[in-house]
Amino acid sequence: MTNIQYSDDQYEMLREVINLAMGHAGKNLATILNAFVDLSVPEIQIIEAANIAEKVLKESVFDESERVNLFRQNFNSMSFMDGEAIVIFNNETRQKFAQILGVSGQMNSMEEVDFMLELTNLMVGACMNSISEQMFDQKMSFSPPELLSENSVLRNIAYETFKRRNLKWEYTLLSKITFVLKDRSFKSDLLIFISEKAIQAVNKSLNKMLADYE
Amino acid sequence: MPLSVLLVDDSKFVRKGVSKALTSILSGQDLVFSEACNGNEALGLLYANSYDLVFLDLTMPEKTGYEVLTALKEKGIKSNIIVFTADIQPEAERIVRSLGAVGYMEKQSNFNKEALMKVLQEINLL
Repeated sequence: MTNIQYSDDQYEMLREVINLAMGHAGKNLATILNAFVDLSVPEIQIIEAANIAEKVLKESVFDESERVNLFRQNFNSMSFMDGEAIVIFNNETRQKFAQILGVSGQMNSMEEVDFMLELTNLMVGACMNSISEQMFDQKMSFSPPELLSENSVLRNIAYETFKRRNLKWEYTLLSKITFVLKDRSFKSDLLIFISEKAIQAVNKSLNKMLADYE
Repeated sequence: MPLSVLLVDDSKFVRKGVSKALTSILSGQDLVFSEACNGNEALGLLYANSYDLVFLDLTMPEKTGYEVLTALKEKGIKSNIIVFTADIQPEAERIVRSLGAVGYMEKQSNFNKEALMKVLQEINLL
């Protein structure tokens, strides 16, 4: 069990770090979708594994009865910062990819999944590299993104994915970033789970950053 | 007359960073700082007072910087507003300038003093 709780100042500093990271991911997303992306304030909290599903459902941009597609990608940097990211797209967004990209006709199912894998890689890569560079002056390594589940009801898949026995840690530092296109044709949640071990490394880095403001 | 500056950002560290940089760049000038940590607070202050310079974040709780700019434009309130943001989409700069912002600065992990000096020169404050 972790005995680390971040102070209000640490959370505020971390929110600004993630805010910058979100800006990079938003820029990449805007470029690939050729559209303007609405960014919102990221949510961050150290949370007990048993409470993750409820937290994810409560803060998701999606209604818990919506059918969604989940993608996962692991990341690490020199062993002191590791975790996994989960990206959620709803079916409504998935069905609009061709329209958003201005492609004539519909994409087939495999093309849709490929595109969501590409978006996952792009969002996770931009975000996590920015966080790692700001906090540890390092780039990250990533596993290839993988499809976790498609066309699943969010409520069901959240409880299934975040079942206590499926998780490697007791606690995680969870950050949630939502990306929405101005015309609401695209919605996505990016969930970043920082491992229990890395919470300590982030804590040290935040203290260093805070010292600059004393 | 001192230069009145309003700093609007939900991070006190950003507000602190901007005030420190401004104090150093405009060292010969008397500066009076006011602060707001969300869009609603900012609008309250901007409706009631006039400022020589405003630094405005875009991604904030309650009301975003875009909403602040839109509300000011609708009311015909003009101010020297410099948007200071992590929203670095090319379209973001075009939108905020069309809503009346006179400057646009990208947030970076280390405060970019040169970029601030350039923006201040553009609006003849340096």
